[in-house]
Amino acid sequence: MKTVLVVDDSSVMLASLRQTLEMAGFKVETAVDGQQALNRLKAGLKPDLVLTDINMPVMNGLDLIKSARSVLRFTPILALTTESQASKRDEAKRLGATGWLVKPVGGSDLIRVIKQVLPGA
Amino acid sequence: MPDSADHCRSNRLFAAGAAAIVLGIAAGGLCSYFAVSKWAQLLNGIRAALVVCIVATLHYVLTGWFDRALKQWPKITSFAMPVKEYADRRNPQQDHRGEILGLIRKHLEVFRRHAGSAIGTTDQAAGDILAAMGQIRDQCARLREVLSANSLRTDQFRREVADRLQMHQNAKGRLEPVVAAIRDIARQSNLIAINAAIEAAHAGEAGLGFAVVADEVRRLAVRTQEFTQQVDDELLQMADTVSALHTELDRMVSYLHEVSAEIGGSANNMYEAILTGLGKIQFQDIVRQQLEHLQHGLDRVGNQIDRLSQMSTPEEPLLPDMGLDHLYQEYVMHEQRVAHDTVFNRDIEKDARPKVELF
Repeated sequence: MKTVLVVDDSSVMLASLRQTLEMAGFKVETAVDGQQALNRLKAGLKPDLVLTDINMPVMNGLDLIKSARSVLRFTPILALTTESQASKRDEAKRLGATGWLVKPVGGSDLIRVIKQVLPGA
Repeated sequence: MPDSADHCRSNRLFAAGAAAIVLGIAAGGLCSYFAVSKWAQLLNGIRAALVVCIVATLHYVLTGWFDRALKQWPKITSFAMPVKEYADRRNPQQDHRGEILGLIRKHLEVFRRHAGSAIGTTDQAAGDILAAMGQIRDQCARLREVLSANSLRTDQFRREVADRLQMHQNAKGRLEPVVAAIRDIARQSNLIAINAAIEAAHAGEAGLGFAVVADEVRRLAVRTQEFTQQVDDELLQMADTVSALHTELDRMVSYLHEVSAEIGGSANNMYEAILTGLGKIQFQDIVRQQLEHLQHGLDRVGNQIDRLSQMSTPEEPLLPDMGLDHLYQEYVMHEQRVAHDTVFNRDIEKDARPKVELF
């Protein structure tokens, strides 16, 4: 069973994504901001995919992508955000993000994209 | 050098004092004229003179005080003039403006609280919807498990019944040669009985007893043939029944599979619907962020209103920096930027990038 680390400061989003991913057969780990996610990665969590929001308190998604790349070199990192600014999207790409999804993304579409970047899932 | 006013005032004071002394002496004289005792007359005269002197002194003091006060009045009025001017300039409009700004501030606070309340409400509603969808998802998963288990049990039942029917089919197959052998034996017994009867007839009177036995044997052979036919018929009927059971079983199993497939399809549709619904829940996050930005905007306007309220003169800038550029930087959604640009007649930047983009 593949593990997905979901990072979002919204409890509703976390619960929604957990249900969606669990229905598709994924194991789900969560964090409420970039710093907490980074701490979990440094503590040894090895997710098969990271799904992160961008605008978050404490540590935003862009900083998380930048820092996480030192721990997860080849793990796909997808940004799922309301942010539509092209400059931030380009920055995420430069920092090593695998993809950018603008909310709202339907559950089936999300699963399809995840399976696309996570072969064998 | 004393001025003319001071001189006149001194003259008036001197005249008042002299008049007081004359009045005192006159009072003493009148008292002595009407008095009984000379010492008493003298004392009354002195008392009257003292009263007149005190009155004159008081008159002097009070006259001097008012005089000094009048001299200071221009200074007081010159000092008070700016205050008066400020009050004249500020009070009517400033108080009115402050009242209006205070009212707007309160309305903004009400809107801010409404936005906060809406955030809480959507949070609660989304949580409730998620919980309900979680229950539906669990029921759906349970239904799929039951369907899967039932499908397995149906297949197993079908195999078991088919095996039993096959056993019956096999038993019929095993009985058929036995029945054929019995039929053959009966046929041969019949032939032997007929031959025996013929031989008994050739024997004449000596063969009468044998003819009776031969006849009995022939009858037994015929009955055996009849029973054999009945067994054969029963076997055939049984075979037809087994075959019909087999057909019915296949139909029943097919029907169960169809029902399972239909329910399974519905369960899959429910799964898809739940996935879609879970995607829709993301709208709550979008609305929450928009309401939070609205709150920030209201806070900014409120702060500017506070600043306006604290301004003392209208000369200060009435259009302070509202932090609009900073507010624009806080936008995350294309729709927010479109709304802002539309209001401020700016060129609207197109959102050409796809919603889902893999790098």
